[in-house]
Amino acid sequence: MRAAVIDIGSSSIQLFIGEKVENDVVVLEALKNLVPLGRHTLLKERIAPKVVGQVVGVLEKYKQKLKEYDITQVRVVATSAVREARNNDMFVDTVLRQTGLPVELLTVGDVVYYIDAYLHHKLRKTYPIHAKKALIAELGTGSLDLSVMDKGFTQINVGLSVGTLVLKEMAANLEGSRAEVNEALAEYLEKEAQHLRRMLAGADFDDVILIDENYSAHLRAILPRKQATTLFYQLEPADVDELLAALDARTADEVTREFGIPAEAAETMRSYALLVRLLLALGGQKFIHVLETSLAEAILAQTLLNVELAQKYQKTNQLVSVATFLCKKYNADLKHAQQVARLAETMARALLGYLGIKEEEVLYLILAAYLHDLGMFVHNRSHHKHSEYIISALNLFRLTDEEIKLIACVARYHRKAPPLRSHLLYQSLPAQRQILAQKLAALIRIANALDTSHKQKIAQLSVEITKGQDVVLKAQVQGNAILEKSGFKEKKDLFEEISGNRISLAFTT
Amino acid sequence: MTEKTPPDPAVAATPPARFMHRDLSWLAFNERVLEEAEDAANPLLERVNFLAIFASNLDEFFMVRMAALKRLLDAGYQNQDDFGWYPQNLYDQLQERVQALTKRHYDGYEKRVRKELEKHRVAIRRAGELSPEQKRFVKRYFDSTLFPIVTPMAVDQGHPFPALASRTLAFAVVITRYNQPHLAIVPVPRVVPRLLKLPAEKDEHHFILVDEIMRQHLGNFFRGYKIEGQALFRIVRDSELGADEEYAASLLKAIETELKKRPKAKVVRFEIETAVSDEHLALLAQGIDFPPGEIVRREGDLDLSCLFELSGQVPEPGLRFPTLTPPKPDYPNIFDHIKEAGFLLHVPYQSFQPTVDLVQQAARDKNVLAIKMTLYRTNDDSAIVAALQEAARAKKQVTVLVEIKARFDEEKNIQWVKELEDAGCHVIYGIPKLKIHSKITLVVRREEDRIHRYVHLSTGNYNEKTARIYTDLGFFTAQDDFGQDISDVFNVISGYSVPSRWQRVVSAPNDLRKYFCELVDREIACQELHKNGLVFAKMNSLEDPQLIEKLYQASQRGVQVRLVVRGICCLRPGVPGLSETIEVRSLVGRFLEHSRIFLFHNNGDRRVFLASADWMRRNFDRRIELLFEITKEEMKEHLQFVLDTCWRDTVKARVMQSDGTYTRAKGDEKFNAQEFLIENYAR
Repeated sequence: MRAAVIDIGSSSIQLFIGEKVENDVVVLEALKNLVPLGRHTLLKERIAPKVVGQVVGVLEKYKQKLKEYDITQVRVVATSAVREARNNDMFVDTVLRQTGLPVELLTVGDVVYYIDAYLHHKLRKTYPIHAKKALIAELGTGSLDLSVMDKGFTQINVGLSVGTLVLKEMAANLEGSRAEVNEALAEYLEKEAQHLRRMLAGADFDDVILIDENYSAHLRAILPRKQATTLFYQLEPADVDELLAALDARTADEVTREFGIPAEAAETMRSYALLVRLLLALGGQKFIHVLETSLAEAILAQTLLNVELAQKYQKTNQLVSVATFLCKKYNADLKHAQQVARLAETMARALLGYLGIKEEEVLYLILAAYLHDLGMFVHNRSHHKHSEYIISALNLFRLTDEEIKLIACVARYHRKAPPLRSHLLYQSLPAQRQILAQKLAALIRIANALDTSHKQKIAQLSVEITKGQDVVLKAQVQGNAILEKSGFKEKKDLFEEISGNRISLAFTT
Repeated sequence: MTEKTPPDPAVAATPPARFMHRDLSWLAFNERVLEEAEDAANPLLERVNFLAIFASNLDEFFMVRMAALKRLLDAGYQNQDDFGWYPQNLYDQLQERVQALTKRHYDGYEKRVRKELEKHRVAIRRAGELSPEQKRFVKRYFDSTLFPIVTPMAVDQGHPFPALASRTLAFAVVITRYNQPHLAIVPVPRVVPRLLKLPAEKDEHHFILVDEIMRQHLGNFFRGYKIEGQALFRIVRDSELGADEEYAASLLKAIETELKKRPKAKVVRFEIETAVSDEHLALLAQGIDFPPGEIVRREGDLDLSCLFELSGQVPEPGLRFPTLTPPKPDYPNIFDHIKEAGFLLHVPYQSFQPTVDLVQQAARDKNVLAIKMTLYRTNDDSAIVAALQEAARAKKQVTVLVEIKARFDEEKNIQWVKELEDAGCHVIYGIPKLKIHSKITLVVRREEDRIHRYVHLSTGNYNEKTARIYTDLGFFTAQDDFGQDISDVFNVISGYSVPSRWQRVVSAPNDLRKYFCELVDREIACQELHKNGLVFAKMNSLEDPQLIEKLYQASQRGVQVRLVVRGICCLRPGVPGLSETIEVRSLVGRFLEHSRIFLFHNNGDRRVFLASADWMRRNFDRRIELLFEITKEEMKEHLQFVLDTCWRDTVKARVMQSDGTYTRAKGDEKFNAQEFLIENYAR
């Protein structure tokens, strides 16, 4: 069995062709072409037609390679450089029209997910990643994206706008001597590190893994005594100092000439070194693991091996892990959040056909339930609105921006006014998503009402639909649940409005 | 072990003392070729061939090296080159050496070889020496073949001097009518062989030069005119391609355009018969734009490269080297054979056929998905090119990286390249500024739904004809790390990918020089620790100053350096304090030594490499070359045996002296390495 993956990254496009041999992947071809997509997205916020042409040119060559190996199964993925371009839809469309290859846009969560799953498979003996707490960083030209994994579960995804090119541009625009500029950059990154530490508060980790296919290959030239292990290249603070000293003593041209490093990489190598130093400083690590595995290789492995993903790789479980971490981070009442999520999920699963909700959409409800009270961190008053903007600003594991917006809306509508066209975030959703938001909001309002006391009095909930299409909730309660009863009466309107039927609550003991 | 001698500061001081000049060294190589022509121990027709090789080599030298030097002089360039020579001094010195060698060349032909040929009833006749039957034959030949294809060209105010192609022979004829003199040029046609075989008695082989026939019949071209005088002349033009490849939209187009320009490139050599009048000469020099002082007046026949034609037309096996029928390994399927165990192929001692089989069988094998190949210089009617076309027609993915910049072969290349394209091959042209010199083939084959890759790497070109004359080593393997590397090499040179790290091969123009220097450094370290440093290398040319300096450094530390360098060698061996432990030998014999083998002792765990590259600047900096290591013990053993055999030669080997001259290798017994290898492989 053979397959191929094409990864359209921020500075290069890669093609991996591989075949399955027993329980492993043998890479037959690994091609790489430099196309500065990230630079364009960062500086112009769009991908210029000329660059699209370059991408198409490279893909045409890759199609020739696919023929050489008689490959029919191919996935084309694109990451931040395309994802963050304003014209990414046109880009995807043009590439499809001109090459026949459909491009999937991956989120940061997707990237970490694939890499993590691959590492778990690949390093199962040498580096049991699922026994570790690890900070996984992906460095791009425009941003640095971080995920903290706790024994295989994602805790938090954060992104910083300090990619290699951003830093290089910043350095170019600072006025001062070379030493002053270097000092200023160091200060700037120290500030960013402090900021990151605050964001990551509560998420501790043992190891830092940097996913980097652009620079690590060139480190050997500058740091010849360093040896890579099978997949990792370990960098210690002293190495980074040595790297910086070597780079500071040379111009980018000299770096290219002397070490044979391509000009594009040489120009931003110093930024890279600074960001590696930032990562080292984050948790006071003795070293970081620089990982040379590429995303394309990871996706290829998944395609070919069809890795039987462990339970923890299910998206829901990963996202619940993230949501749990966020509840703790924002001092939300976790037990309440879990209870609302449980009740909402029970109702949703029972009413999938009744409300016209798809199985995979239940996930949004669960997440909104977990996160609905995050806004309390800001203030009790209007906390539903605070929840909305906090959630909408989050990076959530493997979810698209639109999905995150939807979750933010559902969380917002757990109380007070129901969805209205005048609400900006709601308004920004496509019509189908708006309808879904209403349905899910109807459910979260009831689920939240059923734990008004925050004491998880409802031990079990079952849902029945009468012949007349009315809905009856049967709740097994422990102790006095009159607050819940009252809350239910108050919050059932939206459900009745959108379902056109009545909903009632019956307690059993 | 030689004791270390401290470097002599005076020795280390000047470049000329450290390096032989590459052009002078090249002339010394051509002198060794000439020696083979002079060597009475060689069969007579082989000596004739060596005379032709010498002439052809010298043409090339003028077209490339002397032309470049002339360009420097014309541009007023006055700086020393890397070997410490000023252009004018070098030019003068080269001209002097060329003159001396050419005299020897003509003496060898006229005074010895020609006479020897006569003894064997082989003769190139003058018009006056023909029998009546031969005269009739010649007349018929002129009327039916020559006359229709020869176009005389007048030179006057209305007709500028015609653009004659490089290496053209032509007559300058002065004709008069009504007492008015005119100059006309009559080119000798290049579409017919220069040597025409004449009817003769049994066991006699008589020939006549086409220009000799034309000379007798010049009047036929100028009816109504009187011929006042005539002289045959020959020009050689600057042939180095000058197109700025960097900016050419299509390299192919650029070369085509460049080729069209060629007849007008500057003339770098002008030879003419002595019989010419001064007046004529001045006119011609002006027309050709050549300094009159540099015109060479020649007594004998011009352009002895035509002697190539002679040996092929004299069916006298006794006057040739004994025919060689090289053995071929026996296998029903070459893929199984390679998979079983990789193997080395040493041509011409072994048959080139496995190389052809690889491509032919790949073309016909239903499981083969793709074939990739670099083609640099190949022969007419190449079975390999035909097989590639067949594969493409069978819908296999065929990628051919064509180096159309192969010197002097461009015209030929462009033609078969077009044929490949027509058959559906994916043809990729060379990279601007870089010549693809590596010789590699990759076959991708599906076997039980797994991919297997077969690789062939060689020191020689995919040319079935030269594979019978050039000594080269090919390596066939199915090891997949070679497959991966070579696949990637193709991706890189075809612009499909940026380079990644390779496990089995090292390439120029990136890392090769550095890698060799590191290998020599390793021998220096071994010498320090174990006193057993040894570099044993065989190549065509050694010219790279950095690598030479590295070898000097190794020598000064006591590392033994044995070099078998057939052609140019800019290193000065055996100079006290500089290169005492370095010995250089050159093998010039029946076969052209072309294989490149590099052996490093490595404290007993010897490392042996094969490469497409010589140790020359152009190979390291401007060509895509590959070096690969042979790791199987039996193959390493065999390559060491080949090197040792070359080193033992006492018949065809010359030992280079520190002044750049060569002396015959001495030994108690006569040992001819090439003859020995023929027998050895035949066993």
